[in-house]
Amino acid sequence: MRWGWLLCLLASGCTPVPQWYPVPYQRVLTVGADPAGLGEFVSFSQRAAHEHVVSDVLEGSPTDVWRWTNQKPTLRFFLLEPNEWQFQVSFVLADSTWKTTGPVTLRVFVNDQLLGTAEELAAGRHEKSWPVPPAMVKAKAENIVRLELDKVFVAEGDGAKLGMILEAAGFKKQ
Amino acid sequence: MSEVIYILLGWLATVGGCYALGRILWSQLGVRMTREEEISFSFLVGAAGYSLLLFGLGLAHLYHRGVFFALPVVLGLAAWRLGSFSLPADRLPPLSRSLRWLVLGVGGPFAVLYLSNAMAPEISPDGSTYHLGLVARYYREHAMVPVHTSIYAALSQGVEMLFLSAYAIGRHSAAGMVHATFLFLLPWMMLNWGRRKGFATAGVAAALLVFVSPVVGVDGISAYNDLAGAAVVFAVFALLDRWDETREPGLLYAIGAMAGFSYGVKYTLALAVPLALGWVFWRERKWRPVLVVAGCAAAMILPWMVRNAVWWQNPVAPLFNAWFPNPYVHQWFEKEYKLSMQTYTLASRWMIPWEVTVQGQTLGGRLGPVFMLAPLALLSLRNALGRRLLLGWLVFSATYFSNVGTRFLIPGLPFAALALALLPWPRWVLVALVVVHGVLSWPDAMTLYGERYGWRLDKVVWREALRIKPPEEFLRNHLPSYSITRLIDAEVPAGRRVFAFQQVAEAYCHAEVIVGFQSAQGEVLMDAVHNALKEERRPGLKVRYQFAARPLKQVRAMVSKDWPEARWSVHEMRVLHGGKEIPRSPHWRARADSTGEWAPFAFDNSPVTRWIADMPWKKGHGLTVDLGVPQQVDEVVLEMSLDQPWEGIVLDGIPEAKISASHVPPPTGLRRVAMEEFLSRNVHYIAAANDEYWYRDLRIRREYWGIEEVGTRANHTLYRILPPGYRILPPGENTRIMNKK
Repeated sequence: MRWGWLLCLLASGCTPVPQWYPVPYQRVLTVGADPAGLGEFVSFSQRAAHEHVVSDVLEGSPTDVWRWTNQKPTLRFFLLEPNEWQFQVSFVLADSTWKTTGPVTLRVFVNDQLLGTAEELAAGRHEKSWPVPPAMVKAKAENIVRLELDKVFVAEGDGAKLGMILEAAGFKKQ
Repeated sequence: MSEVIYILLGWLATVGGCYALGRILWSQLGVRMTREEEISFSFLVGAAGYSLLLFGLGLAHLYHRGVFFALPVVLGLAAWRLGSFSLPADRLPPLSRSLRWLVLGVGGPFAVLYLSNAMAPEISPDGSTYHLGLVARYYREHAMVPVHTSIYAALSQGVEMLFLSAYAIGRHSAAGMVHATFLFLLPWMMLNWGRRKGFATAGVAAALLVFVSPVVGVDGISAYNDLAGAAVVFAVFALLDRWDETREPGLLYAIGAMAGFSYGVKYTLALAVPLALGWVFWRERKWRPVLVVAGCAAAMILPWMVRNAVWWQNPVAPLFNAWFPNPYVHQWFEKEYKLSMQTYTLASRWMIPWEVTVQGQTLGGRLGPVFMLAPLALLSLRNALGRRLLLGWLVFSATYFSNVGTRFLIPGLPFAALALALLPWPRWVLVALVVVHGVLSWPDAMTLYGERYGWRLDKVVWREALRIKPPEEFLRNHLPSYSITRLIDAEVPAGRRVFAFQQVAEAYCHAEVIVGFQSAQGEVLMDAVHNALKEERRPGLKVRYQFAARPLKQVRAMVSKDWPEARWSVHEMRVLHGGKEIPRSPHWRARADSTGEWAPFAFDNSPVTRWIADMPWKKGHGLTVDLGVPQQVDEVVLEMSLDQPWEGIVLDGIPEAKISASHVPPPTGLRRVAMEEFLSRNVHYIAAANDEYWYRDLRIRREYWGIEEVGTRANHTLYRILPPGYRILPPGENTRIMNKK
C-alpha cells in the first residue's frame, strides 16, 4: 500500500505528452528586399552591404558605392570552408584628410589575429591583398575582420573621425 | 505620506496575520518554551500556515485587497478569543549590560540602514523582475495562475505568498519589509539559541556576524527569499535541538511544518526534510514520530508539487525536466542554465572564497572579510554542539555549488557563524572580531576594498523611505530597466505582449514581458531572431534522400549513432515525388522523439522556426511525419542550418536511399518573417537593450523588420511590430509607412 502511494506520487509528474501533433498552417514567405545575408566579399555598391558592417563604418545613402570609415572599421564575412582564401580590400585615402594625417599605416586583423600590414600609404586609391592561413578563419561561421588605421582626420567642429573611404573588402579564392 | 502608511499597513497586516495564526497553531501543540522562543517560532509556524492559506485563496481566485485586510483581523480576533496570545512568563537569561551595548553599538546603525532601505522603493535585480513581477501578476489576475512564460513561476513561492499579502496593501516596499522581518528575526533566534545553551556571548557575536554581513543586509531588505529561508532552516535546527532535549511530541508537528516550509521557500532548502526525518529516526528509532514529521512536511510540500504536476507536467518544475519532459521548460536549457550558475563568469572555483568574502561583484555580494576565518569553525568538531552546528552548515550549504552566487551561502551562514563563535576565543577577541566586521561592512568602508560596484547597500535612505524624495527619481537612478517599464505601461495596450532578451523590471509594469531565456515559449521567439540574423542558423543546408518510388504512409528521419556533442535541428522536412513537393495537408501529423511539441515547426514552411531536439544525438531518435494515407514518395529533403552535422541522419526503413547534401542560399526577408512569428504569438512589442547584439540591427534596419520605434528610455528602446500584412517595399515608400502614426 505504502509503495502504491509512493508510485502514485512519482507518477503524478509523468503526464503523457501527446505524441502526434497536427501540421500547422503554412507560412507564406514575404520575400522582399531584405539583405541577402552575409557572403565572403562585400562591395559597397551592393544594396545589402551594410549587412557586413560590425562597427566604425559610417552610414551612407543607398545609392553610395563607398563608405567613410572611422579608425577601426570592422566587417563580418561568412565562409563555408577555410582553405585558399586571400583577403582583399579596396579603399581611397582622400587628399583632404591625408594632408592632415600624412602617410598612414593600415593593419588588418582577422578574428583578432594580425593578417598583414600596409605602411606609408599615400593619398589615392589602394588595393591590397594578403593570403589567409586556414587556421585564421572559421568555417561555416562568421569571421570578423578589423582594419586599423594608425592615424585619422579629426574634424574641428564635431570631432568626427574620418579614416578611409572604403569601396570593397572580403575574401576571394587565390 | 499616505504611501508610507499603506506600506506599514501592508507589512503589519502580513506579519500580524502570520503571528496570529502562529499563536493559534502553537497553542495547540502543547509545547511551552520561553517567551522569546515562542514569539519567534510562533511567527515562523504562522508564516508557513499563512503562506499555505494564501496559496489556497489564490486557487479560489480570492486575491482581493479586502481579503488581505480582513484575513489578519479575523485571525487576530480568533487568536484573542482562544486566548492564544498569552505568552509564557519564563524568559531566557538576560543579556549582560556589555553585551546589550555590543548589540546596540554594532547592530543599531545597521538596523537603521536596513529599515530605511527596506522601506525605500524596491530596486533589487530579482525582486523588481520576477519575485514581485509574479506577485503583481497574481494580484492583477486575482488568482494564482500558471505563467508558462517564466520558469520562476514554477518554483515554490512560499515567501512570495507573504509578499502578495503585503503587496496588495502597500505594494513593493511592503513586500521588502516582510522579507526584512526575517532579516531581524534570524539573528534574534540565533541569539536566543545561544542564551538557552548558556553561550550568550557566542550567540550575540554570531548573530551580529550574520546580521551585519553585507550580502545578508542587501538581500534581507529586498523582496528575495534567502533570509526567510535561512530563518526557517535555522528554526528546523533549533526545534530539533530542543526536541532532542525534551522529546515533547508537539514539537514534531512544528519541526515537520518548518521542514516542509523550507521546500516551500526554496527548493534547495528541502534538505531540511531528510535532516529532520533522519535526526528524529536516529534519536528515537521509532516510525511514529518520523511519520508525524513527514506528514506535516508533506502538507507543506504537496500543494506545490501537485500544482506543478498539473500546470507544468512536472512536480518539481523547472528542474528535473529529463525525468518529467514537458513543453514548458526544456532539459537542454536546464543543463545550460545550471552550468552557467555553477561558475558565473569565474575562471576558476578557487576564486570563490576571495569573491564571496572580499570582492563581491561577480558572485553578487560579499559576506565580509571576517568570514575568511570560517574554515576555523571546523575546529568545533571537537565537541558535540560544534558537530551539530557543522552538520547544519554542511546540509544547508550542500547545494551551494549548483549556484555559486554569494547569497546561496546565507542558509548555512548562521551555523558557520555560531560554530566559529563557539571556539574558545578570549572574549575580547570575539568582541573585536564583531566590531571589525561591523566597521568593514558599513557602506562607506566597503568603498575602500573589494569591487566598488558589487551588490550592496549604499547608504541610509530615510528620505526615500519616507517618500520625502519622490520614488520615481530613486527608481530611475537605481534600476536601469525601470524607465522602459514606464514606457511599456504607457504605450502597450492591454493584452499585448512584449519580448525582451533580458529581464526588465516587470514588477513595475502591467504588460506581460516574455524574456527569451525564461521559457520554451521564449526560446521559440529567441530562436526566430537568431535564425533570421545569424548566417549559420539560417536554413543553408539541404540534405536530399532519393530512392525508388514507393507508397509510404509515414516518413521518418533519424540519427544512426550516439553523439553526445551534437544537437539536431530541422527547419523543414519536405516529402517529394517526381521532383515535386507533396503539398502538406491538415491531415498530416508530426512526431519527434524529443521536443515533440516542436515537431510541427519542421512542417510550417517558415525558415525562422525549426524543430530542435532537446537532447544530444541518440541512436534511433528521429522526426516522423504521418501522411494520413499512403502516398507515392521517392525523395525526402531536410532543410537544416549549417551549425550542425548531417552525416549519420538516415531514413528509417530506406537504407538504400542515396544521400546528398548541398549548400543553398537561404531565403531572404527573414527579419520580417521572424516578426510575423512574434505576431502570431501575440507578441507585438520588443524591448531591446543597447548591449544586445541585435540592437544596432533593429535601429538601422527597421524597415526590414517591419517595426517602428515607440521610444528610447535609458539603455532600452521599445519597438512596435507593424501589423500582419506589412510588406517590404522600396526604401522611400517604407519610410512613409513607418512614419504614419
